[in-house]
Amino acid sequence: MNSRRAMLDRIQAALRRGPGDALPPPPALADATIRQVDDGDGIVERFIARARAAGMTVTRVAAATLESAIVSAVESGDARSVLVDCHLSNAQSIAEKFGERGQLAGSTIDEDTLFAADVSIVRVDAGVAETGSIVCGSRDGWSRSLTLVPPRMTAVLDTGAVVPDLCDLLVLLAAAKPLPGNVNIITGPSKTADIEGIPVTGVHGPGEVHIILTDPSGA
Amino acid sequence: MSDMRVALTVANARLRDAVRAATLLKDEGRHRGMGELRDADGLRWLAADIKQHTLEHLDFYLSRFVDRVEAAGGVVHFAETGADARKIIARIARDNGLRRCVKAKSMTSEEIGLTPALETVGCAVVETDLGEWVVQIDGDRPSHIVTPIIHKDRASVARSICEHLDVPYTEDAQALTRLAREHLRDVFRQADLGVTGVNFAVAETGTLCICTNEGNGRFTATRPRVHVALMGIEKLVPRLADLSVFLKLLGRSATSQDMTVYTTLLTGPRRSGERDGPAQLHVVLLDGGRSEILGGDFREVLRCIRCGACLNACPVYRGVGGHAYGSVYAGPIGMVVSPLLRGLDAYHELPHASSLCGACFDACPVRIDLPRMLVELRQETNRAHLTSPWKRAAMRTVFATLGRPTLYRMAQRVMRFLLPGAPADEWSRVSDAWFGGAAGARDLPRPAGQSFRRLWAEELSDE
Repeated sequence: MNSRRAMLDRIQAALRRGPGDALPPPPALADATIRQVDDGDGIVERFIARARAAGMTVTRVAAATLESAIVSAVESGDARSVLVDCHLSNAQSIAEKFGERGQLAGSTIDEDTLFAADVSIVRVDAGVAETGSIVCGSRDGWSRSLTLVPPRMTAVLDTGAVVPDLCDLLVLLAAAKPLPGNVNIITGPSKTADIEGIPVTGVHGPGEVHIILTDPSGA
Repeated sequence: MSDMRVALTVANARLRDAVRAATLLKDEGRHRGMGELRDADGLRWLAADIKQHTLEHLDFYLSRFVDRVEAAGGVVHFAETGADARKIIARIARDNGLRRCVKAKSMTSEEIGLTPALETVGCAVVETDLGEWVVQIDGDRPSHIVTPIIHKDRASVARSICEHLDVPYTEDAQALTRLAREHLRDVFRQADLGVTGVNFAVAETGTLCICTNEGNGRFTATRPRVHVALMGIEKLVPRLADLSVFLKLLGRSATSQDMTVYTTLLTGPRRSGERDGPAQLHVVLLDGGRSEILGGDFREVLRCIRCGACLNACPVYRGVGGHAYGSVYAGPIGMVVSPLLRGLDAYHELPHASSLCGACFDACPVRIDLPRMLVELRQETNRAHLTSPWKRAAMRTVFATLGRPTLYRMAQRVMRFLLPGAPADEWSRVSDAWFGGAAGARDLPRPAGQSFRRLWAEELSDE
């Protein structure tokens, strides 16, 4: 029988539980057991170190110089077609810096443009110092694809959005109303070692991930 | 595992070396990664407790999960058996006119044999995980939960890829990967159905957590207009926050990285305003014998998070690789779940093919007591008379003798009378001549000058 009721009945029979049986609370998540990185000074430095160890490049700049930092990061490689996430502040002005090569990646671009792009510039929502991960939640437009399709990705992140530990990130997500339909925790360029254990990057996702960390204060 | 399968594997020295090198590397990586945790044992206990709690109240968590998935716009299907799951997915393909399916790695989809069922309804299936894709174009089977072509060396991978794509031969791993990427990119663009597995399913929010490295999992869950997520019912965890425990353990146990490159949390299909993401999200819940395991002594085996740590730690697996097990699930975990899911008749040899060293138990991030279960399964094979009657008789005799001191002493004297004497340097030759056949690959130790009992008695009498 393939219904919800039938499946639950089988499970309840196996567990010798009845429908009205009480549910004790799940095991407590002791911070001391789970947490690897405490809040405090140094979490941005830790984030940078772990992100680099995971194979991403990181530049830390004052907020005021963000646009020129983005341009030099992008121009350091092949950039015939650049997609700019429309959720970035100053997205329009950033796109214009690339002239004809730059496009705002709003809802109006088509698939061919998406697949032809060399670089995407994306605003990410958070960073995790423990693992050096960047976190991107889905929103309007091609948000999932921008961090997946183009072979190079430049992620823009505010230092204030770096949380110490994965457990802090999950607390944030659990409180998000609503929880985005797709949240990606990205820790490095796409990779595999399926071929004889030889590490190779850039399999299906971006082979290069560049993170630009902005300091609001201008430090 | 059957003698023939083992013999074939052992004869392939290259395969053995590849498996050995890769498993050692990952096992070392696991020690390093787990060593970096502040409280690795505490985390393992917590993970075990969370999973055990969830299993013991699975009806509740499953119910909540289903409600949340549906509230987020997903559709949930319930499959009692693998065949039911195949039918459900084939029907989804047929009802939506889906003809081009891309698959991300999923052991559960292997377990139910999904691909032929889709092909029967006119839906072509392409595996997109690099190793699984190579396995598919070879017509082979994956040999490891996490690294499917651990049994192939670079040259044989190169041959497979270059012949299939009809391109000039290259052995460069980067170049081969580029070739696969370009080819599969087109496949992704055309696909209308994506099938993935699920690493963890969160009851609290109806969220599917999928951990991958290559990006094919994300493409599979993003590009096609219909996404089918197939999961065993044991994948549930209660809260989003629980993922912090499992994610910290999964990467470190599986391949020694902190996190997989992509950890994707999916809650429902595409929302309005979004241009990507599936229009439909279907979650297929598979029982497939799991509720029966839930009701028995082997319940804890359902805690498994498919990290592969036990495979990498196991000296038997390291020696023979995955195919020798003759099952979708190989290694120590496979030795237990294969007979449980598929029946003892088909897999009665597996529980015996272990030295019970316990490395798997040490390695397991959710503390599954595989050695205990292997011993219990052996008892079941004996009770079911699936083992050799001679062996059973011999073991009964040994058991009877060891339990009776007088009988034991008599047996000792008889043994000493029967054993050939030989000086130390000639012992192995004599032992081979006398016992070679029966002992097989084992060496019989040379007997001591006198029995321990006599030595002990004399020592005591001296005092």
